[in-house]
Amino acid sequence: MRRYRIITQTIFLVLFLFLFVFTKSDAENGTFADISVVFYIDPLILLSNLISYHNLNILFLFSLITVALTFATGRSFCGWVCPLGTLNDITGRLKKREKELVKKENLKIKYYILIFLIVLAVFGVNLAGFLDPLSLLVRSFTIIFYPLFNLLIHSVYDIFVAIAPNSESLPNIYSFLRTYLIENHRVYFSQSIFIGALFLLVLFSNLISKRFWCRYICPLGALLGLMGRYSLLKREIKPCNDCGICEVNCNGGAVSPKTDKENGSECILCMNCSSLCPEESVNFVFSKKPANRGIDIGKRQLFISAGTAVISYPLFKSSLSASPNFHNPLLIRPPGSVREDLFVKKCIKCGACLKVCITNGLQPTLFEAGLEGMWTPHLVPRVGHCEYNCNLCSTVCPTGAIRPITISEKVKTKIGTAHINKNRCIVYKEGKGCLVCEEVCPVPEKAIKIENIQVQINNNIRNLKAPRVVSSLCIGCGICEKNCPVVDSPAIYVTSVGEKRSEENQELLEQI
Amino acid sequence: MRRREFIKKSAILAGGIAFSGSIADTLFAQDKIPDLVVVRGKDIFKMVDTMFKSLGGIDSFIKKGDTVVIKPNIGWDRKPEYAANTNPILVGALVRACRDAGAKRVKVFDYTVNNPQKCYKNSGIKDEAEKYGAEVSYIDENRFRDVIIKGKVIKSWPVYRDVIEADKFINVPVAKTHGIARLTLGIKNLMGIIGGSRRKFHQDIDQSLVDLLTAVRPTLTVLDAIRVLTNNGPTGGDLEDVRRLDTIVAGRDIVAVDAYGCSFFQVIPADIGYIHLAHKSGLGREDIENLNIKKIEL
Repeated sequence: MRRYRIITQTIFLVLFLFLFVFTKSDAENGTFADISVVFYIDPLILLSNLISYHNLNILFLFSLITVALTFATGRSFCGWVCPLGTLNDITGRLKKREKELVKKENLKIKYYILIFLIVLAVFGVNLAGFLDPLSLLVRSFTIIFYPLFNLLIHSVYDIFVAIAPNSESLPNIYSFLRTYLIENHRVYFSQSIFIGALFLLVLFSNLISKRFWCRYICPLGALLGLMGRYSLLKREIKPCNDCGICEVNCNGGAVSPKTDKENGSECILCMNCSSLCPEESVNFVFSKKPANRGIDIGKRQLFISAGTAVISYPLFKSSLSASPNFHNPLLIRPPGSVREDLFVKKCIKCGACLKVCITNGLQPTLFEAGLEGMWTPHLVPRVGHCEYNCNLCSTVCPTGAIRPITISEKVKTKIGTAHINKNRCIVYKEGKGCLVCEEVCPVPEKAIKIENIQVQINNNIRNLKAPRVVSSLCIGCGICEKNCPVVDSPAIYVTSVGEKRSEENQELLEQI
Repeated sequence: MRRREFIKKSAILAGGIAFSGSIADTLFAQDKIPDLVVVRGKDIFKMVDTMFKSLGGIDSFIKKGDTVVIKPNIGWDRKPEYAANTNPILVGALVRACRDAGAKRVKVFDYTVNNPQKCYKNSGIKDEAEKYGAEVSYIDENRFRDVIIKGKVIKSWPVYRDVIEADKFINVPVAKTHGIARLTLGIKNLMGIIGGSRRKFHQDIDQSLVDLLTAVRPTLTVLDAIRVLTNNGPTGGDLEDVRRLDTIVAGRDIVAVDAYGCSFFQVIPADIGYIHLAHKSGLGREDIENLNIKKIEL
C-alpha cells in the first residue's frame, strides 16, 4: 500500500505543479490552467470563510468530498493528496533516523491554532490563509520558485546567446518558453526573502521531526483530525514482538508502542507501519466498530486558545488600517476587488493573482493593509502597471476577494487616480517636451490632456506642452507611472483615491 | 543614374520577353517611376500588387534569397478596427509579396508597449504574417546592438540586430495622431526597432527621430491609411476616432511618404517638426507638390 500512496502523492504533486506553472496568460483573455481550483477541495477555507463573512463561492462545496473522504478513511488527504505534505515527506527523508521522538503533548498545538483561527473568524477576522497548507504552498511557490524559475531560464538563455549569438534555434526556443512557460521579463516580489525564509523553515523543520508542519502546526490537518477520529477505516494490530519499526517510520507521529490512542486523529494513512512490519501485524480495515480514539485536546487549553483569539480581536480592529478615516494611498487593489473591510476577510493570501499578473505589478503587501491584510495583493505601478485588456487576477481569485469581472467592466473600473508632481516633471523643471504619460494612457478618451503652458527657464519663456490628469477619466492603471522617465520617484504617480470599490476614498463631487 | 539604368534594364528585359501584360503597361506608360504611389481600394492584396508594380516591380526591391524585415506598428493591445496597429491584412499581403519574390526569410516584429503576446495576438498581425510564411518573434533584449549615430542629440543608440543585418527593410506604419509628435507615421514608427530608454526621445522628439533616421534607412515605406486614427492616438480605443480611407501610400523616400500622410489629417508637412527637420537635413523631401505622385483607384 505504501507504494500506491507514494504514486498517488507523486501524481497530485505533479498535478499541482502543472496547474501552478500554467496559471499563466494565454495572450487572449484567459489562462492555460487555474491553480485556484485546489482551494475548492479545502474544507478549512470553506469553514473559515463561511464563518467570517457568511458567503462563499458554491464551488467550495467540492471540499465536502475531502470531508467525506476523511470520514471514510481518516486523514488520507494529508498522507496521500496534500502537495505540501508530499514535499514534507521528501525533505524529511534527507535525514536518516534511528529513533523518532514524538512529544505527544505537542501534537495538540495545531488544534489550538485551529481553534484560534475559528474563533477569530467568528469575529470576522479571517487569518486561515496564513496557515492553510495549500494557500501557504501556492503563495510560497509564487513568491519564491516562480521568480527563481524565470530568473534561471532568462539567465541561462542570456549565457547561451552570448556563447552562440548566431544560433537560429535558441531565439525560437526562448520565444516558445515566453509564450507558454515563463514571463517576458524577470519577476520580482517584495518580501521574497521573508516569505521564502518561512517556507524554508517549514521544509527544514522536517529535519527535527518528520512532517513537523503537518504534526504540530497545520490547521487543516487539525480540522481533518477532528473528523478522522470517526473514520470507518481503522488500524488493527495483532500481537507482535514490539520491534518498534512502525513507530520510527510513522509519518504522522501517531503510533505509540503500547497504546494507540492518538491514532484516530493523528494517523495520516501513510501505511508505512503496515508495509514495513516484519511480522505483518498491522492492517487497515473498514469496520463499524467503536470509533478510534483521537488525541485528547483538553478543555483548559481549548479555552486558553479561544480566549487568546478573543483578546487579540480588538488588536486587529484597533489598528490604523481598520479606521474608516484612514485610506492608504499605496493600497491600490486590483480591479474587481471588493470593499476593503470585506477584502481582508475574503482574501486567503494565496498569491494566485500575483502569479498571473502579466506585468509583475501586483505585489504582496506588508503592513499597508494592516496585519490581517498582510500578503494581500496591491498594485505597485512602478514595477508594473495594470494592463488595460487584462482581468486575469479576477479570474483566478478563489474566494471572490477580487470579484470575477469581464474585460468591458474592467476597463471602466477605477482603482485609483494619477497625480502629477510638477516639481519632478521634465516639462516643468527642465522646460523640455515629454508627454510619455499622455502617449501611453490607454483609456479611449485619454485621461491625460495636453495643456499649452509657458515655462521660464533662465529668463527665457518657453512654450511647451504639459500633461494634466482628468481624474474622472483616469482609471488608475498606472501605465503612466510605469513609463515616466523620472524613474526613481516618478513625476506622475497613482494613489488609491477615487477607487470605485470605496464610498469614502473619494475626492470629487461628481459621481463616477 | 541608378534609376535610369534600372529602367533601361527593365525595358530591355520587358521588351525581350515581349510582355503584353500590365507590368509592361505600367513601366512604359510613364517615363519614370513615381516617387510616391497612392493606392485606394478594398482588396488589400490587389492594392499591394499594384503598389509594387507602380514602383517598378517587386524585383526592384526584393532579390532572391534576401532576408527582409517588415516592421509594422504592433505597439498596442488593440483589435485591428481601432487603427492603433498596422492593418494585419496589409502585413500579410506584404509578407506574401516578398515570399513570392523569392525572399528567403521575412521577419516581422515590433517593440510593443503593452504585453507583447497580447499585442501580437490581438492585432491579428502574428496570425496573418505567419500564414504567409513570416517569422514573427517577440523582441529579445539580447538582440540590440549599439549603433554609432553621431546625430545632434543621439550619439549612439541600441538598434535591433535583425534590422541592421537585414538585406531589405520595409517600414509599415499606420497613420495616427500623437501627443508630442502630433502625428505618428513612417519616421516615428522607427521607434519600434530601438531599445534602451526610448521614452527619453520625447525630450527632443524631432531631432532624436531625425538622428535615428540618418542611421536607419528603410528600403521602402508603406503607410497604412486603410483606417487612420484621428484623435486620442497613438493608443485609440474609440471607434468614433477611426476614419476609413482604404488607402496605402508607398515610396522609397520615407520623408515624402510622411509628408503625404499629413494630408489625411489636414496638416502641412512643414508643421510636423521631424518631417521638416528631415527635409532640411536632406534625408528626404517634404515638398510633395514637386514630386511625381501616382494615384491609383482600384
